Amino acid sequence: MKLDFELPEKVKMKVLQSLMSDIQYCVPMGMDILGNKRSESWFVIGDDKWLTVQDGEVERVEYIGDCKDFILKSYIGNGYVKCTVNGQVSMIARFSMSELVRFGYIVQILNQMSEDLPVSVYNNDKDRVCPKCGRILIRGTNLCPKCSKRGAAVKQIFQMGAPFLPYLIGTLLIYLVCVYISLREVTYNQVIVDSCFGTIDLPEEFAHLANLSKLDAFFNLMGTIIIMGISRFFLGTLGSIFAYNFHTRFTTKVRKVVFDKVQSLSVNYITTASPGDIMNRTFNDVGQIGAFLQQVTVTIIQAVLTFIMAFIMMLNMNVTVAFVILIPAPLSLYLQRYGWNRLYGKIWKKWIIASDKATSFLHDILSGIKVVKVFGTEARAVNTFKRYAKKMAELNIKAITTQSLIQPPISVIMSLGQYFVYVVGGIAICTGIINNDPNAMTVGTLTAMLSIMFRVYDPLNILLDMPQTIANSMISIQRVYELLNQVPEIVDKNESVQHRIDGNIEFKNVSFGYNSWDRVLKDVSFTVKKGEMIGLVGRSGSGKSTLTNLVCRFYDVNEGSILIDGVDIRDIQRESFSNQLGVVLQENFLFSGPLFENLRYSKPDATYEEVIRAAKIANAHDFIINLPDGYDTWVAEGGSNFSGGEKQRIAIARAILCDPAILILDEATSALDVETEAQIQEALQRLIEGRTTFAIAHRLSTLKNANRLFVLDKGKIVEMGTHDELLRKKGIYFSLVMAQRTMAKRKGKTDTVSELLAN
Amino acid sequence: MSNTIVDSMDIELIDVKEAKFNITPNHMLTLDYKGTFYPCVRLNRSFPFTNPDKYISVMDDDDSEKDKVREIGDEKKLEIGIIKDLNEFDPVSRQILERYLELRYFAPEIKKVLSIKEEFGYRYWTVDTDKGPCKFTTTLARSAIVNISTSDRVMIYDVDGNRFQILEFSKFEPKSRKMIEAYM
Repeated sequence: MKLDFELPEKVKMKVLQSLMSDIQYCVPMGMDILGNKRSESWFVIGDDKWLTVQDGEVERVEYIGDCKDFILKSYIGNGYVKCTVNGQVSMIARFSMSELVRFGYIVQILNQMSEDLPVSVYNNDKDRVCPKCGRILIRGTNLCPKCSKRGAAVKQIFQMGAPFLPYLIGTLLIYLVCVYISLREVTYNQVIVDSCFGTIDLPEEFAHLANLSKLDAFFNLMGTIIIMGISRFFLGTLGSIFAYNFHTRFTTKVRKVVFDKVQSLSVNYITTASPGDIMNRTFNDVGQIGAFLQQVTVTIIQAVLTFIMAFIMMLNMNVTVAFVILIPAPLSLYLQRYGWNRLYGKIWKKWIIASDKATSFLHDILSGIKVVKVFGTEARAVNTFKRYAKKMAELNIKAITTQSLIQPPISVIMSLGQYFVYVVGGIAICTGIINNDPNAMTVGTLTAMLSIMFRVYDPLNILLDMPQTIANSMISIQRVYELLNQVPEIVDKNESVQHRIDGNIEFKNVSFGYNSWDRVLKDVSFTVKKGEMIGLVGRSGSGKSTLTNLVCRFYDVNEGSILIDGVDIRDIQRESFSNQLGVVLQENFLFSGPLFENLRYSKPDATYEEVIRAAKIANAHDFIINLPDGYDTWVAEGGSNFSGGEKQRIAIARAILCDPAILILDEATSALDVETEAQIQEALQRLIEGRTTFAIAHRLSTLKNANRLFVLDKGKIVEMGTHDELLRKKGIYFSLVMAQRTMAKRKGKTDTVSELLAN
Repeated sequence: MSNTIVDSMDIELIDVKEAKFNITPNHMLTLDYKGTFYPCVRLNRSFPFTNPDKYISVMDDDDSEKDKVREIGDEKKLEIGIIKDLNEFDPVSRQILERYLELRYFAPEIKKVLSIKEEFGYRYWTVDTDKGPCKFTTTLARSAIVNISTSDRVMIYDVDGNRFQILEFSKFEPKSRKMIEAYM
């Protein structure tokens, strides 16, 4: 993290004068102490002083030695640093949330300096800076919006579509043939009207029909038109099949790549990003990109070529009318767009929002129906829903009214163009007849031109929509690209090894924080022997779960190292390591699907017998066998058709199956009734046997079997020993045990009273 | 009349006559209350959106004391009391408290949106606020722009945790409103 920003030359002079030493650290604050946004505000630390700069002027200077207890306070939307200056509590700097991490370090440095300790900050939060332009990257991404080329994003995504290009080219060719055929049909129609129904000679192209009677020529031409129509239909179907093939194959491939990527990313990224966002990118965005690719390559080319071919054809028929046809195009296109987007679209959007609200309200009420019934608020719920439904109905009526009001004028104007062509064409035909001009416009030409007219309008409409489609798709492409280019925090090195875990674990001066300036574990060292069970004890927030997260390697340590049988955990291949871990949590997640598959999730090739054995060890077999569908019971989403205790036992069986070398039990037996707990304790005891185990429990009695207990406080192990040793020590563990006993006694009393009452 | 269970819990309402708030030259909010001096107090709004001036909790924020309180495990002792209504205070005190609260709940008010650009999965905003011009970045998540359903307020949260607000969205400058509405 950058802590040595360069001050502007002018300011630097003033700062150096005030410090009377070199600048050691310098960071921006983003605002002044009264909360005004300021671009030129700095916090500077020299050899023995700190100072603040506002608007180019030094605002406050103090000797660090005169200050103590620097504390970082995070407010809402801003934060500040306070300390005691000459015995008085003082706010010394206010900063914008963007600088929070930086000030975390600054406070650490100031505290070390004020206590005359050597400055040591573990500065692992690399300022995520763009290697090209030096701009600081926003949290959660490693793409610089300035330097990332849109072209690169498009290229990467399009390249994934390359193998399926033949489908696209096929679609395009087929569609073009269809357009050509449909234009030919128009020419045939024209010939029928002019030469079969009228008196005009057959064009040269149709000279071979000259010997036939008018009726025969008509049947000949009509037959060809029918054949063309049928082949157009079949070709169109084939084209659609090609197009769907492209779309499905492409999106499936990209979705797979995206999902692979998501799986490779660390817990950190996935827990920070919202699941909804990742799902959106995997499904909607990829779908949009597929449609876009197809549109760019097929629809646009098709539209452009159709327009050109149709227009050339019209020019060939009659230049004046061809241009006349184009005149009402802008007006009618504009009206259509205005009508739909501005008027109708707006109301439609409101309707979607209203319907969204109604649906989520309904979802809420139905999921919480018990609460509604308990408090008897059905009438209120009905009223609220009525309100939503009414709003939806109103908007619906409005939308329909608007549609029926705007549609007719649009249609009239659209047909005005047609009338226009009729008038100009009609005049041309009539003057031709009057002047007996053989080159004048014919009825057939006019009919042909009227039918081609819409082949000119439709592509124009599609092309006008393109900028919006391209813009939307660019956003989707960028989102997917951003995700694909995330660099996982935990990766296997080339020299990473597969390691068969024995179970000896050593923490060597481990420091770790989810934000490295705010350490959750501080300089933790211990050795655990194979097969030992360690109970982790401490208040919430003391670092127990963090410690187990590090053993699972959800995160890498900031400082120090974790050795598994003497091998650094970072040198062990991630997958082979995880396969040898077992975790049982307070809330265990079951995937929807057959129970059997859930059980062998940790070992997909486990046999029926192995699964039953594991379930027996976990005390789960008895309840499973009593289910109507036994091991084939379908697990509902989130495992909602199983009780907490049942899920716990399933999780234990799951852990047993993979035969883990290291076991983590995080509050595995809390929130259970006494009988279930006894069963689970028994199951756990079987599981723990011979495995290195870390168990976290608030109820200290559940840790009585632990070989050793580690008492954590504020990120440090403060006490270590057996239950008896720690009790004798009369330290934190002792006071925790005493507190729980007192609570238990109180509870005991109430039980007796309630028993008395019951009798 | 029988008392309900709700009545059995007392709220320590701050006695306005006994409370003397002050902001020191060092920018700390202090409180003199019923003979006790608190060198550093914190105010927490109970209803920051719907009723920002009512039921404001006054907490002891003296860090040297806090650890001791924590040892006993009774966090409630941090609360000195609750201010029922800011308007009960004399203008001078009220101004002190309002000034403090403005910084405590720091969310510059957006006056005008100059541009919103969406690039590589993030939205880049350039706005004018009552605290000056500002650029910030939000995610595409719905939760980045929140229309507080109980009021006309819109809150915008950036990737760093900074907040921005529009107090009366329905009366907001139309062009800017349209730009935001497109993402709501």
